[in-house]
Amino acid sequence: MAAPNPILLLNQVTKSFGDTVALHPTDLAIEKGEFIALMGPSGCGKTTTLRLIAGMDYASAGQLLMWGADDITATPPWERDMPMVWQSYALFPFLSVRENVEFGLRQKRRLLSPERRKRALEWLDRLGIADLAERSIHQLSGGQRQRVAIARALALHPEILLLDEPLSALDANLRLHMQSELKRLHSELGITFLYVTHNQSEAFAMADRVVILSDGRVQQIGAPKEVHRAPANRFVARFVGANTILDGRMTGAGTIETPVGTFGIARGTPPPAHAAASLLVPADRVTLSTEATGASNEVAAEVLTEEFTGSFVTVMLRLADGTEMKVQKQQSEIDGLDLRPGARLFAGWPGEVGYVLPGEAC
Amino acid sequence: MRGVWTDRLLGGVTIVVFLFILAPVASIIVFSFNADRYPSLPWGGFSLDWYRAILTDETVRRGFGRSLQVAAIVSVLATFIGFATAYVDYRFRFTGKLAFLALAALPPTVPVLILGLAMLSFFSLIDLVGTLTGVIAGHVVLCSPFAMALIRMRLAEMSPDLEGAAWNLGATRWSCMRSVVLPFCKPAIFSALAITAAVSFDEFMIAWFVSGLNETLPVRILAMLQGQVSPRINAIGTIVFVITIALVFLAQFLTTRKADKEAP
Repeated sequence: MAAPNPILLLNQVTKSFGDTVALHPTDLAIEKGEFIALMGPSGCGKTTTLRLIAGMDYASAGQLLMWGADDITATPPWERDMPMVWQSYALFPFLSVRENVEFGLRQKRRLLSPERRKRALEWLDRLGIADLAERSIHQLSGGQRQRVAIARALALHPEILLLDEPLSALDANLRLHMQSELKRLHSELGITFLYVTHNQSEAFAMADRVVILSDGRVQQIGAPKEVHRAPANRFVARFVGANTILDGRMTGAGTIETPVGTFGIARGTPPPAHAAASLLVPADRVTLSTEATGASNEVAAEVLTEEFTGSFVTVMLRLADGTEMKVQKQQSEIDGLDLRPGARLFAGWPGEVGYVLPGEAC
Repeated sequence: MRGVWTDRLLGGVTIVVFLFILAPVASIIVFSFNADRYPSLPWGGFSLDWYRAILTDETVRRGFGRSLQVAAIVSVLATFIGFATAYVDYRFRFTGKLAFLALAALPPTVPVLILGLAMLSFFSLIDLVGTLTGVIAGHVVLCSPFAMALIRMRLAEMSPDLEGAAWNLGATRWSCMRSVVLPFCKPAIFSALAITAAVSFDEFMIAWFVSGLNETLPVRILAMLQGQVSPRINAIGTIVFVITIALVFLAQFLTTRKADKEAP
């Protein structure tokens, strides 16, 4: 993956609207063939970044380089070769499905009519909607429109495909289906996908690397597993959501002292002794029991809520100091436990999962 | 729940209102076919004499021709200006936009008497009084806001992503205008053409002040009324009414057909 030059390089790219900074100086190197997801809560700068890359807005400062040399910072959108799949689909309502797919081929590739038609039909076929070619857009369902939008972009045979929350308007089943379809298209075509989403599971399921943004700043760039297991900071830890954060202070002995106990740490870069620090406990590694086992990584807790999501159960616990702890278990693992709200039990975790984050001054 | 009687009452009131509005028009149409010289009942029998009379009247024919010519040119110019104004409103944000829009919508709110007088005095400065060009200029001022309103309503339905998508797929600004914005606005553009033609064809006051010897049809009608009350007026009135109402229906049809097609 370490090509000499990334297909697209953001070099200190910045965007401000008047006094508001939408994107602080950002560096990002996107390699050819990568599936990159930009994610974060709304207003975090992910869509701004995508619009800058597509040329819908221009960067206030910094550079966009293709292949390390071709500066496209000020190139108008129609001269960039990065078709986009829009959240609203942005299909042309006065054109048929096939004409929509042909639009880019007519504008950009200047192909002759029979050639255009052939290629459009190929892509509609590839997305499983060849039979809808002559329909009008109004007659299509959301899922079908989605496929037309993808076909329209891919028919240009681009090297980079931009996707702006493409699945957010679909229902859950369809979304999962389209996820695997996008993943399949990505591996078949070998082109770069740049995917914007606020949906963590979408990003983690598909992307090779995720870029987590908040308040117009990149918080962390890394493989989904890395971000999940070793969040760079408190924001990422919270955003990923599958952790309990126990705030405390480093002791002299390399352990962390929190209001609910003193625990060993196994991973992360510990701050110096006596500095503020936080311990992250992954929700899926917590074990629950009715009797104290006497292990060192164990706390007493009270059940707040229990929530089923398919075969998983999410249990929210309240610890002695009021901190909420999140626990995710397979249904079978907790069958015998009393999880009614108010029930008392003990939550423990293996020593090797404790991950330390520098504490934040607060 | 609305009862049957409420519905009937509502229907009845609607019919009465329409009757009230349309009765004078209907009487003009009815008496235009009346053989008698005076519009009184009982009817004196069916006759096309009055139509024959106006068709052979050279002043009426010329007025009719001028009105058609003016309406055709005005509709094109006013729709073009209306489209441009509406698009500027849609695409750009700038300081003073509200003032720009208010100014663009202003002409129909000025009493036409004032508008006509103002144009007379202004056009006399630039030698446009008594010319059809003057009438056309005056009508364009009056009609453009109607075109703008119609096209602006249509543009409001256009997803802001649509232009972006066209650019993103390689369309330059101009080709995006040609292949996305214009096709999207097509129904509104056609109804704007029809409405502005109807307004111009009907317009009397500006034409009366500005046209001079180049009388348009409405000005000719008034001149005839001043001379004598003849059933020929009814015949002309019927023709004007039919043309205008046809244009208005055409505009309405184009707008609703679009709505039907795009209903989800």
